[in-house]
Amino acid sequence: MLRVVLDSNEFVFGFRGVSEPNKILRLAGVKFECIIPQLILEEVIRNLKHREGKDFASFVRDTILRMDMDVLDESGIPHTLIEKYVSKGLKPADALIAAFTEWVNADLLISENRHLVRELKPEGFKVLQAKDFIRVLEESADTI
Amino acid sequence: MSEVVISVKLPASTVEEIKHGRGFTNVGEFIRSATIRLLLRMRILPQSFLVDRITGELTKRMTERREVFDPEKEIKMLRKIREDIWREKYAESSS
Repeated sequence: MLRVVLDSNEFVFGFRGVSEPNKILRLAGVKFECIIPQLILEEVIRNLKHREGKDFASFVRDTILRMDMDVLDESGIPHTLIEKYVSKGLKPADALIAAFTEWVNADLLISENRHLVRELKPEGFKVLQAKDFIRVLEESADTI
Repeated sequence: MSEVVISVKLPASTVEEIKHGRGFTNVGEFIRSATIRLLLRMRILPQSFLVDRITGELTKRMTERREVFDPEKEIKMLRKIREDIWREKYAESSS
């Protein structure tokens, strides 16, 4: 089963009803193994609290924590790994997400951030947008 | 039956008064109640089912104050939030 890190935009888009990210959230833990850093959960909650109010943000937090995915503390990522992605031109915060993806041996990082998808040249994993990831899942298992 | 949509803008001071005043749990309830009472007094709304109709519309309008979803704007905001959280949690230890 593919091991996948979902970026915060997949959660925010998915919970707000955007088609492909929404589909991916429903398949997490079923068609692929999902791991996210604590940082991403915090981003999602902070964004939704601002956009939709604290009740909806709390609902989303509970839902994510009940979903079949692992939320890991990213503070143990080696600094050298983060520095590697900073030296590739990423901002430290984005570098941390890339380093996390490599650190947990994930196959894919899924993000709607085109800048990240275009600029990041990772080693050991791929960066895809949700629509392309769905295509990968459809090709690997005819039924979704 | 024609559909009636009413938009109401209240000054911030009035909103605060409603929030802390007695009798209304929220601003939406205040607007619905005040609008219906006004329309009834003006004899524009003689029938109860029309009142229900307008109540429904106003409820919908009051919950539709969110902005139109803009993916690019959302991604920019998320990047800013990510950088803020990163600064709060890690900037000191990385310098």
